[in-house]
Amino acid sequence: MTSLLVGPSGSQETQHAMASPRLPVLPSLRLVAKHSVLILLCSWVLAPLVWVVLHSVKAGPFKYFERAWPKEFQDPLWANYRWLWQDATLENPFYRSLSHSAVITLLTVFSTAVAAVLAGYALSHLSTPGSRVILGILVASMFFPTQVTALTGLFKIQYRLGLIDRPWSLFFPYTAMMVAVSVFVMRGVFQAVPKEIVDAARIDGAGSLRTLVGILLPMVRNGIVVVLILSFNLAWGEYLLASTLVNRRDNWTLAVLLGQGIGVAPGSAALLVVAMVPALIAFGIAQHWFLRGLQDGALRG
Amino acid sequence: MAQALSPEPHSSARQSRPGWWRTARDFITSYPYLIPVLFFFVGWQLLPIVQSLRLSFTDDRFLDNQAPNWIGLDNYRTAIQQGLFWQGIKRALIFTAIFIPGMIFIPMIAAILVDRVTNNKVATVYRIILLIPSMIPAPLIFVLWVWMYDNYIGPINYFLVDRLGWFDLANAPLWLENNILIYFSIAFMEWWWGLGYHTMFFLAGLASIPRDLPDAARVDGAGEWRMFWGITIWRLLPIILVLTVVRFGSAMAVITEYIIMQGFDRNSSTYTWTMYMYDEAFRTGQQFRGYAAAIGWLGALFMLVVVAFLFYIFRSRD
Repeated sequence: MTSLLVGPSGSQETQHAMASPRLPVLPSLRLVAKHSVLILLCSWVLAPLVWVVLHSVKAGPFKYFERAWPKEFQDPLWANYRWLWQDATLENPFYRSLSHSAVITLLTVFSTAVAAVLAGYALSHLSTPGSRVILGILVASMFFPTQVTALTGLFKIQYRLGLIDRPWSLFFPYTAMMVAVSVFVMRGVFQAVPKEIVDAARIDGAGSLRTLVGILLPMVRNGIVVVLILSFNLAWGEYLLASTLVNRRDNWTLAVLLGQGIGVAPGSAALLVVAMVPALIAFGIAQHWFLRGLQDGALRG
Repeated sequence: MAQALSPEPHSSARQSRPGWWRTARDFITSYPYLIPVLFFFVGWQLLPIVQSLRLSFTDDRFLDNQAPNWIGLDNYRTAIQQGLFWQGIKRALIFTAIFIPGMIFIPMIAAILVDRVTNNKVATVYRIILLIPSMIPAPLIFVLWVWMYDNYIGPINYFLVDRLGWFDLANAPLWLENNILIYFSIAFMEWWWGLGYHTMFFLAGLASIPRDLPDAARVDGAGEWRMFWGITIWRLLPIILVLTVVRFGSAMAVITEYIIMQGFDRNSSTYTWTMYMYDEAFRTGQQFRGYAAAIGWLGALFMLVVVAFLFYIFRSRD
């Protein structure tokens, strides 16, 4: 995936440099400088990812000491990956963690999206008494080191509810952590919808819920994608709570399995790559809407 | 900014009923939409904070099953007298001071360059590539960079030792073992991670500069450098200030990075106040949750004071 992205950028970029008739000779030097700095930044971004993929297919007696291009590759190349996937039972720690992570992530993503859409709508197109107070508290929570300060209290609450060592229940705190940002994204996107459209729907006799579901929902799609991706990212990778509120090895999420010291073996690199891939695929599919959504909602104000 | 300051949405149908009636009706029609948000936010964000505030005034220990006693400010007094707490704050401040400039200026430069790419497709490709690390969840990044910095398998020392020959294996820099280097190693990783996301903020800021403004300045003969200091930096200043405050908050409270990359070593630079709190609450001794909660609140109060101070300075400039 990464190499595919680099290829076209390089070629288009040279074409572009040649085919800009407006610019005289001196600025074209500037153009080269600009693109070379950007390409440098992009290679900095991509290099560790390329390296970890290479590491995951290393073989041979010196695989723990080879630091760049592998001298020997696995045969077949994906042997380390196959090693992860064989023994597809819940006895396999990789599978167990993967299934926990999948459940938690689905619950978090769903509940965050629903909560943020409903609240974003109410805080932008309905007259909500006390909306300023609610927004103020949500903003304040973003400037407060909530995650650390709340930790002891959170453990106590989950303990009382009997939710310690119940991995699925992590979606409660995860959704709570995502709520503030997500509501602001959705509110920003809803505010971009002209008031007249909402009013027209009202005059046609649609209730507030029907206006939302039938008319507004497709218009705020970009914002929903942003919320989905951000909450996916948190739930898939959160470590602190997942390692604190869950004690038994059987209940570890993928992030905890990775974080608890998995060594430096190529097999571990394969595990890391497998854990990264869903996030990158989600981003790859949604990047178009994600970039739009960021522009529409998240980055306003 | 303009969006955030826009007036309250008003209901489409104005009624001649008294004000309280309208408020009550608005309440009934709008609050059902807020129930999910309030449920999660109050239950797992506000209540835990209040709960840990309450705990901080008790001698709650997790491992003995005795009911906690109210001991007033004793925990706070103990923490303030502890060298470890203040050392933790100091370490967090050093990391923050190293981390923030790179987290703001590298993305700013990237954004200014991407903004000048005239071909839209190429600009999008740059944006997407820069955003890739931000899309990878936290612990995966940290594990990946532990490997990058590793002395045996890590490619960084490969370049320094095998390629450039600046070091040999005996004196190669140990990026995560050296107590000073580790600040920079972790900051460097965070810059890599946040580059694309922060670039987006600056790009949004640059997009708000009217196109004819730089053009006019160029016609008047202003060079790139003067245009940057004359126009661009002032347009980006609000973003710089907001990011400074937000990133101060996240850098001071860093904990997962330290747990994964270094572990609980009291002599390490990564043993900040957050690690001290976690150590006391969940790992050592009787698990003194009350004391840990007090450490958490002290750290939070310290941060809030600094944030208020930052807001004060930044506001007076505008």
